[in-house]
Amino acid sequence: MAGSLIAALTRRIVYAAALCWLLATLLFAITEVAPPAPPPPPPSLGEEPTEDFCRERLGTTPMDRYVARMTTVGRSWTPPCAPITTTLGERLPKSARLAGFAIALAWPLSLLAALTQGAFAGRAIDRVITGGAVLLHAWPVFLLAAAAQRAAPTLGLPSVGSGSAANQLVSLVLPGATLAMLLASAWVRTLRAAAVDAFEGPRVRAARARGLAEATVVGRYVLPSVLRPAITLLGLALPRLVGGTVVIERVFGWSAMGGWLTEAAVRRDLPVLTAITLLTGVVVALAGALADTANAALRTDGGHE
Amino acid sequence: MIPLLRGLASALGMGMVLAGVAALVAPAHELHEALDQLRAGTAVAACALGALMILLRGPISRLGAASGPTTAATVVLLLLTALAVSAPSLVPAGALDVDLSLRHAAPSPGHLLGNDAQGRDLLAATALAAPVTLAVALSTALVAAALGGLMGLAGGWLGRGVDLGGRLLTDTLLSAPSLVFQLLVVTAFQPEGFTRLGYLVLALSATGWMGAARLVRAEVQALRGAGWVESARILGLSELTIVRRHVLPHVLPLLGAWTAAAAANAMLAEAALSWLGLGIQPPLLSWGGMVQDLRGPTATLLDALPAVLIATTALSLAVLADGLAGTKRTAPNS
Repeated sequence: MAGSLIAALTRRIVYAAALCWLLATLLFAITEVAPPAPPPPPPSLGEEPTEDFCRERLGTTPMDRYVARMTTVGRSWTPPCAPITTTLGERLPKSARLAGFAIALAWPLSLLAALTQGAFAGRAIDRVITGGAVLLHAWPVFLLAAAAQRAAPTLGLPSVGSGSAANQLVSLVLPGATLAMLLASAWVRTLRAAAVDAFEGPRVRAARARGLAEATVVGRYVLPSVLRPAITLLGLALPRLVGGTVVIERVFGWSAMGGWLTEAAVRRDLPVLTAITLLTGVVVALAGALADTANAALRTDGGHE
Repeated sequence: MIPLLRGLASALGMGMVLAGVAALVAPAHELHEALDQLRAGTAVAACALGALMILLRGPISRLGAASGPTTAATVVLLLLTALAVSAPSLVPAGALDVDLSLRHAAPSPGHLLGNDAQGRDLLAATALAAPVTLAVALSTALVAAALGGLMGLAGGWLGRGVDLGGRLLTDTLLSAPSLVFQLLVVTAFQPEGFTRLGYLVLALSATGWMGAARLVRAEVQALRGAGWVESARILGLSELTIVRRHVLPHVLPLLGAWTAAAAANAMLAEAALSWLGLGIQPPLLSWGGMVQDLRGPTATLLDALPAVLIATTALSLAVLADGLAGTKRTAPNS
């Protein structure tokens, strides 16, 4: 038992490592093939170092550069060429807070909405929730964010994340709620299908026929079926903690991972791109492993097969 | 409902063919080199799509009549397509002139919907942005569906090594922040004009095919073990014939539904990129880029028209996708 578990874990780790290697190689290939970025203007006295200065001498052949890129984290190629770990330490907590707040808000809400839709399938409340979700999903995210931002002064909420802890928490509300709406609108549609399937399934019918209370029926026979895709979706959303949300951050003026990533992509700042992409890859692999483990546990604890 | 949709498809199709032919035959007035190319391109597209709409009016009306929302979505999409390909031919010369004195001007006899943030006629700008936005979204969805479909088919049918390689590639691209690759492809080569559109479609479809691959792979794997596939093999049918005759009829409806949803996502992704200033750039217009005008303090309600159009199109495509997914064939093909 333990042996097969270790084997499965090892397979996962090897797969994840191969994935990360492929990601980094793809990034390197694209930046190598692309024509070089236009040279920066020469600096005047007292100005920050130029990009040429920032680029460490990584070797003249592509192979040297490839090896160097794969083995060191290094500094950003964009002035002021800060070490990547420093910038990561500044920006990552912000993105993690924003995404964490949004996921913590959206996940239980989607679950509740899906269960409601499953219980009242075909009725008015079901159609209202579906309509709302489809509408939210179609509306471009930058408009949602802009609308929320405009509403900020009227609601008396600050929208930039700085200052005291209390202020930071309050300033999370608007961007976090916007992101939560985005996530929930996508999740509700998948989870509704699972909920409706479960409610219409034979086990629920049998349980109701046995005279079990509705709450027990839902808790024992519906919830596990809906939790399975819900946990998978949660695992798929975790990379947002690291990758950030570009549009929401830009609209609300947050300097977090999304903005850093966009700037790095436009400037072809390879060290930053590699570092963030690999970090995201690792988080994806971890989240996937966690989700699969949780689902496996659910299966063994769950109903009688 | 079906005759209504059939009549609408025929009428719009004929209108599009006429508009296209008229645009090709009439002398061109200069808007701008890129926009003249756009007009020529959309004229050809109008003829082609109009003919297609007339030929396929039967299937379109059958699919569209599946449910109430699907019908509404089909009507909206048919109208949008017709307007998008005809619009460039109808825009008069000088409509896109930048006149800063007219910024955010209210509607007037010469400018039915007023002017946008650069003083251009809002109606003309929106009309010219329509074919570009819709073409990018549709092209991306089709390319992504083709790529993903092939990958899923190869992996699901051939299995083992091919499947592992396919899964690795799929998971790799799914793990990467898609924005990174999109931005890299679009900004690294600094393309302009129509080449930029091509790179944009490439970037968006290269980061969007994975869902189709997973979908097709799952379906093909389930079908591969089916009894009648074994029977077909025993009968001596070639692998290609089996795939063509027994697998594709089940996979294509699913892929069709996926393509509609992918077009909606592609539209929103392109809008976000254009809103960031990194997608479609002048002289070509896109609805996403025009939404940037909403940021200024002097923005009027009419400036929201491109945004409303994006949302409407994305919504219609999503509803259509749901409707198409409901028509999946369940019985095996004999």
